[in-house]
Amino acid sequence: MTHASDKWEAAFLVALWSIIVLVTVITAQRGRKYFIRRIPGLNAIDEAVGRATEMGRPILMVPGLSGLGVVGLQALTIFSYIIKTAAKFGNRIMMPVADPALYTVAEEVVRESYASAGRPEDFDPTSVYFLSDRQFAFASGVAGTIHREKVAASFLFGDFFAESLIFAESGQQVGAIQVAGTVQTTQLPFFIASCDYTIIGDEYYAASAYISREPTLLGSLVGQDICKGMMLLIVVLGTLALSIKPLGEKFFFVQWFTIK
Amino acid sequence: MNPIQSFLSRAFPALHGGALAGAVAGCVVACVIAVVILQALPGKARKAVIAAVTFVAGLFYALEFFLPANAQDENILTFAVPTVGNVTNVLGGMTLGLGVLSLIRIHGSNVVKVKSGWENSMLLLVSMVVMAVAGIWYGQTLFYRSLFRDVLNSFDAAMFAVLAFFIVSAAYRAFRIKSAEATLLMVAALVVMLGQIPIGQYLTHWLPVKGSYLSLLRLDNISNWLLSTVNAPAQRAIGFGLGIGGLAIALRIWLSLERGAYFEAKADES
Amino acid sequence: MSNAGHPLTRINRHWLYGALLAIVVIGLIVPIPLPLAVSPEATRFYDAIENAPKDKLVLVSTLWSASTQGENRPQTQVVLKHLMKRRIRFALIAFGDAQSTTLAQELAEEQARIYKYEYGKDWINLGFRQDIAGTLKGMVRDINETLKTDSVNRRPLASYPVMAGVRNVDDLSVIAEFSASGNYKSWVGLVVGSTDAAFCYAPTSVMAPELYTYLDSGQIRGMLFGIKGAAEYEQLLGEKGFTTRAITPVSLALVLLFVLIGLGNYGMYATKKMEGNS
Repeated sequence: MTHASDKWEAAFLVALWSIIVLVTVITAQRGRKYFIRRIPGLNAIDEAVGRATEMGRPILMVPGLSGLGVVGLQALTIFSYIIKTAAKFGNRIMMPVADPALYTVAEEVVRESYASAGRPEDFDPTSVYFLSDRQFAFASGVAGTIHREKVAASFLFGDFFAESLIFAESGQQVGAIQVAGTVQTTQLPFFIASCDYTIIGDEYYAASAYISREPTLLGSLVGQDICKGMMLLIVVLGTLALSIKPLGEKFFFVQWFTIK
Repeated sequence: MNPIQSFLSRAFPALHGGALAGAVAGCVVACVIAVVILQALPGKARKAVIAAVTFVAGLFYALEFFLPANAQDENILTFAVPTVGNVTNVLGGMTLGLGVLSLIRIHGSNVVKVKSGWENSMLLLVSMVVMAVAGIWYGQTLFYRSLFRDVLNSFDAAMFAVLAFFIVSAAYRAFRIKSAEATLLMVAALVVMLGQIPIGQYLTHWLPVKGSYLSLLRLDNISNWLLSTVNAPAQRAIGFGLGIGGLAIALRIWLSLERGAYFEAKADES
Repeated sequence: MSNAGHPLTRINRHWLYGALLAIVVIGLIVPIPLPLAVSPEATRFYDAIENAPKDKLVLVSTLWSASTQGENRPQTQVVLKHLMKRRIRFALIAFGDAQSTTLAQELAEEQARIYKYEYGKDWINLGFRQDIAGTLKGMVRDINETLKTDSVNRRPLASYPVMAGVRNVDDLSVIAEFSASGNYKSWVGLVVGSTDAAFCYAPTSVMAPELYTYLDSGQIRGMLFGIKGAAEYEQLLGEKGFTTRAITPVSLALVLLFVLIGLGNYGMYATKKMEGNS
């Protein structure tokens, strides 16, 4: 499906969901209060930063192999909060980056996080660095950093693939408190096995709203939940239609959402 | 050729030789001027410029998707997709240079100041230069092939192989049956793993492959059932959430609704 | 690691690493001749190639590097073998990692020498592309216009006999991707709905579970589940090569995993018992 006209029904849903998200964002910006449930992994951020302060060892933040897209930018939003917290306690931070495009933005985000925490002079330009865009060269570089620096806390947020376990096990070996989150579902078991807290599925996208309590983000989150509810309804109706013999695959509702 | 395409063809005819080189040089100069102007702008104005450029770039793909396509699956903007893709590739290539500069800055400083571990930094810089020189000027020689195949490939494969060791230690340490749910997960994992390997499959190989209810008890069949009937819906559910979450954050970035990150602080300063 | 608890909860990780290394080496030297059940996904992949018409081109896309070659190389190799045995024309294309085009080219050349496949007439390399989405969108419309030249001789694609009658993805019979990444989303989203070509996927084992959703919907026709899938394919081809032999160390490593999980759990219960008694 390269164009909306290939399947108007699917394109209509994308447009409808976009409108729903925008409407909930606008209502939140106008002052409507929304509730967000507790996400234990994100509560652990302060605990991890506190521990790093006690131990006097650095905090590591890894955006994985994320490029300059929604996953990478979301990781930077979470890291921005962590840096602001770390800046208050004077913790040293390290952020190796694999994607050169994301690196340029990451450097700027770190600098600005220090500025908004009121500690612009604490920003160390060597704390954000490009390592390699090759998956395992990056992995070995990060693993080496974890072992050499004996990091106290490790935050793994972004796109992770086979290298996820290398990071998580290295952190575990040096006794770091680890919080991880990724949209790559196949890597979640590795993070769950080796990290103290893991953000699962779309909690990853909820993280920035949870941390900042920014109305725009909370509104967006509520919009996402409404869309998910609609999706659930479509799945239930589709399953019922397919299970009832006279309706079946030819039923118009099923046809709406069937892509060749 | 649609009207936009023919207008662009007339306005920007294909250039060759010196004219092409001049156009490239002109573009480079224009980009440098644009960056200088952007840096000189006050924070709020810069944010507005960034928001406008982000919006226009996103609008191109949104319009290209939503405008109706003809029988050849093309609409009025489709012709420009490869060009816009090339622009993205070029931008990506430019940022690689910034990444390399970061490496040189950090490791060069380690070497010059003879910091702890400066030997490693030196090795990194030398390796980077040797590999680049070999790739650019000696691409077809044994020298490059050996560096690529015997060194880089071997290191890559070795790092991937390290995963097997980590999986063993992680499973031994973390896979503990502490609750009913953990027991269920353990049993499912054992069945799936046994169903994937000949040694496991051998345990129930005497059962019929298909055509009998007994075949349902074969480990390979149970494993396939778990993967396709239990695993798939869970993956799908997570996928739905991620897809919608991705759509929402893409919208926020496209419309510059995201606050508290990406150059926001600089805008607030001014 | 704490010194408290049963000794079985405190096995030094280096012993575990040593056991794994020993088992893998032994497994490679002494293969266990056990039959491997062929999964429905591998059978469907095989059938797609087996039933592909000879007058249509098969697109072989690779996105793997040296790191995952342990799984992706045998997968690519068995499918290339099958294509060449059936004398079906194919085109290579690579995404994601520039290394993958070199490695796939080497593998294809190696097989082409065995099966007397001629470059340009029987097969071609369309090269590496960084921008997956843009390239796939272009290929849906026009392959020659999007990719322009091959990667070996840098000549226009239309000048090669292997590309005769190929305009866009509609002129392909099978699209087979061998990948260490989640690239299938781009193919399913941008290409699968625009062509009747069967889309088959060969990921690494760790990626495979997330593909069942698309196998279920039929958007992915067949799948090779890591190296096990390659061994199954080899079995369907009626051959017993390195891939089949490599299944023994994989099996033994998993058995070691079961044993270690068992030991760890026994240690945990023994520790609880010790604490209860004291």
